[in-house]
Amino acid sequence: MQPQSFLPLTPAVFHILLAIADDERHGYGIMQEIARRTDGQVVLGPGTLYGTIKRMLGDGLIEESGERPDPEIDDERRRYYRLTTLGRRVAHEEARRLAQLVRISRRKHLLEGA
Amino acid sequence: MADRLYRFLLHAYPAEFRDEYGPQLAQMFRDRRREAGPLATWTLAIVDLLKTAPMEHLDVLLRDLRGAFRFVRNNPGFAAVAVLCLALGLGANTAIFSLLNATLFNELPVPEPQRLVSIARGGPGDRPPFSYLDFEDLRARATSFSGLFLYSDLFTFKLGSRGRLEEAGCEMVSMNYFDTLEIGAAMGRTFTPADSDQPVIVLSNGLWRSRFASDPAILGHAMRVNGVDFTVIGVAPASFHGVLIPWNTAAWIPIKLMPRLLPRDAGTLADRFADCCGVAGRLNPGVSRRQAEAEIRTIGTQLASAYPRPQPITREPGWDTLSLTSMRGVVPKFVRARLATLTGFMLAVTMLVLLIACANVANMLLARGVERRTEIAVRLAIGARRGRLIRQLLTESAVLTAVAAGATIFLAVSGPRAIASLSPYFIDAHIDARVLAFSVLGALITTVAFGLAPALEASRTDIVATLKEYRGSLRGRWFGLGSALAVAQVAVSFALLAGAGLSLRSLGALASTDPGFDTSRTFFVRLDFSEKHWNAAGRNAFLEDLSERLAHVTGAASVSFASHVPLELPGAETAPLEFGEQHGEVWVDSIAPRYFETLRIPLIAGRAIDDRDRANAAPVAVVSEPLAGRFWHGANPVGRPVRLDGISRTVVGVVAQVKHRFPAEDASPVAYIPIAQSGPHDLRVIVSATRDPAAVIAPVLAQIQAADSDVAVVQVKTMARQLSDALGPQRGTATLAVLFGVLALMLACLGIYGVVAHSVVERTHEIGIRMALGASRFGVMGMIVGRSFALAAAGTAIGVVLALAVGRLLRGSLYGVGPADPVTFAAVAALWLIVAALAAWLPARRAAGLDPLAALRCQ
Repeated sequence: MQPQSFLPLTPAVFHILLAIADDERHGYGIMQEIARRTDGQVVLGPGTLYGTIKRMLGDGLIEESGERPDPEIDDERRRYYRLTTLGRRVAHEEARRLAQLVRISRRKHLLEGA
Repeated sequence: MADRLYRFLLHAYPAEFRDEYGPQLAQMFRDRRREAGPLATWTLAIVDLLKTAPMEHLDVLLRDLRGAFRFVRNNPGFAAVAVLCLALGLGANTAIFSLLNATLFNELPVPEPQRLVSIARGGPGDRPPFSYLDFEDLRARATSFSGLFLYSDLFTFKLGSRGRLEEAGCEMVSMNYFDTLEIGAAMGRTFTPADSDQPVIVLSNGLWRSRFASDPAILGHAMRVNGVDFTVIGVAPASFHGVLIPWNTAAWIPIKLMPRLLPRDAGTLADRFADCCGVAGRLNPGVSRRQAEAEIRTIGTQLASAYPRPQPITREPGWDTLSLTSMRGVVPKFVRARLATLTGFMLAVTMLVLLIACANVANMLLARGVERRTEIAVRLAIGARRGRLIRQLLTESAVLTAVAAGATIFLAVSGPRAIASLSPYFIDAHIDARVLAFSVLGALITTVAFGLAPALEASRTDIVATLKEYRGSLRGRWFGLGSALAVAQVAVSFALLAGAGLSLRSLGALASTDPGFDTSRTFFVRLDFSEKHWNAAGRNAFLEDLSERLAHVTGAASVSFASHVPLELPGAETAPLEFGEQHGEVWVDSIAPRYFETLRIPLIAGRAIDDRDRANAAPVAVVSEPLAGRFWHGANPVGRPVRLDGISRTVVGVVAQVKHRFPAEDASPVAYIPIAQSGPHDLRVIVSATRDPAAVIAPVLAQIQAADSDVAVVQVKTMARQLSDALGPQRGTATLAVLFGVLALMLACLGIYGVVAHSVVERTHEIGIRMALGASRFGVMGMIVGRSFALAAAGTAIGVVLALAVGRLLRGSLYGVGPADPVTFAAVAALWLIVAALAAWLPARRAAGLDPLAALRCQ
């Protein structure tokens, strides 16, 4: 599958890709990471998060990296997710596409004074 | 506690998603609650759930739909047969329901129909409830209504314009009729109080379109109604067919014109006890039906005591108790009852057909399920839930039904029109929300009906046995769900076919009975009189002249006149006949000399009406054999005095019976009186030709025109055609019955074929063993055909019982054949034998053609 065929990504998909771009995380970790990066502006609910994860797994953008106990809380087994090669390329293409849009916006002075 | 509640709420998601991610969702909920507190967590969780649960279901549905379409694409033959079965079943049901809907449930197409009520009288009678004077009193006294209007029964008037004449059913109404119904004219105007006694007419849209080619210049045009000149003032909207549903009103005329249009009823409007019309009204805003009814009831009591009925006028008990009924078209009770029985019966029949169709498709799916056992077992083995599989299989069923429902739209639109055209009533069948709801509900029930059992059965697959490819044919059930369904189909189709056979035999018996008159070369002409002929002297002079002229027409062997010809429904009149202590209602036909001779009705005793019976001669009557039998019980009535409609007459002759109004009627008592001694009535010229009637018609019509150019010809018809037309309703019923019977037969034949063919596939291994052990090909074929016969025989046995019940239902409409007619039953049983053999033929040949070695290897 060509990475371009996934574009443009929905905000939820792109946020999740970004959240696990540098480190594999479990569901709640992804939610926290997204909330942190957006100053609490974007909070994905459990259904939204796992519904999106399900589809991303199906598309091969992410994969499970196996279950392990949470180091902070005993005995709770969590699933961790990480990017696949395809996922990373898709995230890269989406970032480029957005960067392009930002460049155009800047050239048209849309970002000034904002 | 909160966690448990959240886990419970997760049931809103599809089971598959819940199994996979439920624990993760619950975990996330716990984590979040620890961090963000309960309020924020719950808000997010609920909003999230409401947003994502439907999406997940949609996801599953789309996946199932894709699977279902793939299934349909890979099995086009299967899908086509299934869709055809379902479409026929569903379509027939929707069509019949839309008829039922149109006749019984539809409201009038007027604004706020729920505020319309008609005033009814108590008692079982079905006569028009009010006299014109009653109406005027009701209107003057009642305050609960924004308007009370009057409508008559449908009267057949002769409408003539632009050199053409035709008969059409018209309502005579009060001037506030359209205003109270809140129906405006589509063109021109409706009535105003100033029109009250003016000869003005409002045309229905249908009449305007068919008769005047939607000519906008029709307004202001002259139109002759029963010989009186009228002016067209408006055209009603296309959606409005009058209040006399199920009749179609062609035009509306002021009630005050009644005396001029119907000279016989000249005194009706001034007669307190001449009940001639219905009264309906629109409730004032804010007035409840109960309040209005209380008021109307009081007025009814007041009127009854103010105008006591003189002797000998009697009415049913409860006549003076008034009540309100909602106005869904003023369907007369007897018509409503007949239509309800008829359409109810037809709905029952079509539901049985649908049932057969469902059983068929269920059977096909069952067979398919066995073939898909491996696929299903694999899916179960890798952890699919049974519920999930059932959901997918049901989606496949739903796709089949949806395609079928699409195909039924054609049937549902064209079917009711075709069926309605067989009915003597006007039925405005169309697809509305109620019909749509019915068909959607029908489709849903159908889906479950034919899809659930096979889905349950298929998902019950024994994983281990299936995956080991153990065919298990020897423990295959001889009599499983599939066989039971096939037997049920045979039984139902047997009953339907028996019903069809009975209707056909009944039609045949009717067609071959002697109507009592000559049909070979006789024809009749219906005339329209102008006003001058309504007095007896004018008419008699005209008839004498016409009779003289027609005597010279070559090819006309015998000519006569009458008020009514046999097998005519309208035009027949009754009157009370008294002889000594005995009395009863009898049919009265006014006839001219040579009537019996022209129609070849045999004279049994005495003499016929002849040229002696002039207007001023002694009043006489000729009676029919059944009338003589009823009043004189075998004694000769010739010379006896009777009182007929208050006039003393001497019986001068007895004639053989004829079918007077219906082909199926029992002996009708008819009294024939000389036309010269009768009051005003319609007229038919009856001619017996010496050669082909077609050659004689033109000169007869020319002579009629020559006698009086004011007299118009309404209808020309041979008596053979008259008899054939009279059989129309029976022919319609028989056609429908045969149609449904054959449909059921085809479906059931497919059903048996499916079961037998499937059993051959399932038992390939067993057949291989039998053949290896020395069974002949003929023996194998016999086994397969025997199975088909066994199913058909079991179905036939149950079918006979069902058919007896059907016959009992039909008894009232059968003629010359019993409800348990052995010939019909034997014929249907024989038909089923042939069908069972045909259904088994292909599978039997396939079984006989099996290579024993290959069959054994297919283990």
